Amino acid sequence: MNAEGTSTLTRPRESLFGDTWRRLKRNRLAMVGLVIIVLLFLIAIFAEPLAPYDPIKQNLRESHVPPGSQHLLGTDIHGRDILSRLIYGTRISLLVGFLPQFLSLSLAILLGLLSGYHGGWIDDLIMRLADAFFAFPSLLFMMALMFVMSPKQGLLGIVLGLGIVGWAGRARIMRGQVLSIKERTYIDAAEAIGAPTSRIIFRHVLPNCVAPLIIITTMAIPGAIMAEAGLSFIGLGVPPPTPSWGQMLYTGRAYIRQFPWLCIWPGLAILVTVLSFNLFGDGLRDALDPYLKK
Amino acid sequence: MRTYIIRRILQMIPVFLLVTIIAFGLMNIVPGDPVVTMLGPRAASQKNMVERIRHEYGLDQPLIVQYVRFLSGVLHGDFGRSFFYHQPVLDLILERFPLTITLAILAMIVDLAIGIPAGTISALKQYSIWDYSGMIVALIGVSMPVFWLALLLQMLFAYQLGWLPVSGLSEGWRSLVLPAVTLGLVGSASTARMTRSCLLEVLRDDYVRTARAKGLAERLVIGRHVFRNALIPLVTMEAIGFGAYLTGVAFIEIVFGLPGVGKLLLDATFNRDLFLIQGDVIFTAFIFLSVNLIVDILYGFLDPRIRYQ
Repeated sequence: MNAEGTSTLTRPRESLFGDTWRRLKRNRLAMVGLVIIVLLFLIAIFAEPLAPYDPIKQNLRESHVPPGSQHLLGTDIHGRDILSRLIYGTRISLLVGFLPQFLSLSLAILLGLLSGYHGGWIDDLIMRLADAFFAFPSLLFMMALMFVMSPKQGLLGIVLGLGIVGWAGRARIMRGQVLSIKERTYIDAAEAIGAPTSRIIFRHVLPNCVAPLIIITTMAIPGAIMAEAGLSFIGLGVPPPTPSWGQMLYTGRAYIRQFPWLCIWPGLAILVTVLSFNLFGDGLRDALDPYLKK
Repeated sequence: MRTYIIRRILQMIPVFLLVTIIAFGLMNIVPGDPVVTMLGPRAASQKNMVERIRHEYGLDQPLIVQYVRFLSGVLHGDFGRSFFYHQPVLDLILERFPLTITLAILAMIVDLAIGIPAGTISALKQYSIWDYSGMIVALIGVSMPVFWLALLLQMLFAYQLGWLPVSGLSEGWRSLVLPAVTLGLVGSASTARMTRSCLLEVLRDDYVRTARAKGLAERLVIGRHVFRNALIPLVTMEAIGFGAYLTGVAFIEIVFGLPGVGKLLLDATFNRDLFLIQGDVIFTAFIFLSVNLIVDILYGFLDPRIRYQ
């Protein structure tokens, strides 16, 4: 044990977040990821003043202008500035990255708790349902869902679909946590002093499930961003004219030979965004779970 | 071993039933008539046709009757008829499946051939320059949209250099090189990461220390003790990754214009071919479940402990 270890007795109590942040700060790659994520949020929020042109208004006289001083990254077939569309596209990517997680998490916490705490046939049913959801490759599920939704609801469909697809894995983890916590002596103690079930769940079980849920949710964000890009890339995602990176690739693909810049920038934007979330997610996992990394 | 296999097969039945319910439900959650959905704007003007088709496909029956019919059809290998191609759905899928599975297997070979050695080097030389650079490349790899890499490689090797065909199947095996390599490259990034973490975990185990302490050659320590034990989590994760493969193959088929199952599904969504989509979803889920089953049985052979649980 080092000096820090011996001083734990006297040092003030530290919250999970304080403790995690202290460890996370030391991870350089994770910090690079975090900085990029913060920048992306700023770009999304201040898209209007940042974008040099209107991302939607067409200007056919400036169709397919190559990258240059007028249009830094060139224009698309409708004469729209690629850079401006990329900037506005950040909004869609962050939206589909984060929004579905609320739905997935709520479903997972509810069903995972029920499964683990109740046990019996409810547990069997929920876990088989999770298996069934696991059996669908998510893209396939999303494609089918996008088919039944009307095209105007594209964004809503993606958010709902990703939210539904994501619950199964998290519910399993939640259940596993609940099962192991249930056996701990502090739960016996709480039951012995007559604590009601609700208090046991909210005070003892849930707080101990937070760390793994945070890890898997952070890891799900880049997957969701990639899924939207993929769906939009095959023309089943965010409907035009709303700019989305995947959709820019979809429309740019037809002209890839003559105007390669149409396909380079949006792909790079997806790569950098997903990479930054992966960097941060990896770091967060190591910071929240110090036993994993020695 | 036999009881283990039988038990695993029995466990698959309720899951498969739930899969059919989800697939059936998915197509019926939207308010409105599936026939109107399929016909699109034509439906409004042709009320009689809508009625006739509804009757023909049994869509005028209560939902539960429809589901039971649908399920008994699936169990008999009848996935319904495509609305667009006027052919049995299963025939359409089976016609295209060999190409899709060939692509997936070729890509898997590329994936393992790159990913496992890269991950192994990283793990054995942890914190070396090889480890750091390998893992950064792998992290970029797992963040790489497979459809974008496909476009980039297509741009470079097909359009610019002209070494390989742009799309289609006209040039035999040469047509499969770019698609398989693209998918395999992206897959190898996560394989390398998984290999590394699985090996690192095992490398810290006591029996590895014992093996080294008794003076066993490093080659034997790695080959006999480390690799065998790391294989189980690795095979699991590769199997879970196979679902992602089926997704990846779909993108690859679309970019390289290959007539596989993924391309069929995409066309089906544009043709508003409800029954084909439904059949495709169930078929793919079934393949995925079967892969999981095979992997579970493989475990039984790889690790005797699992059989007796």
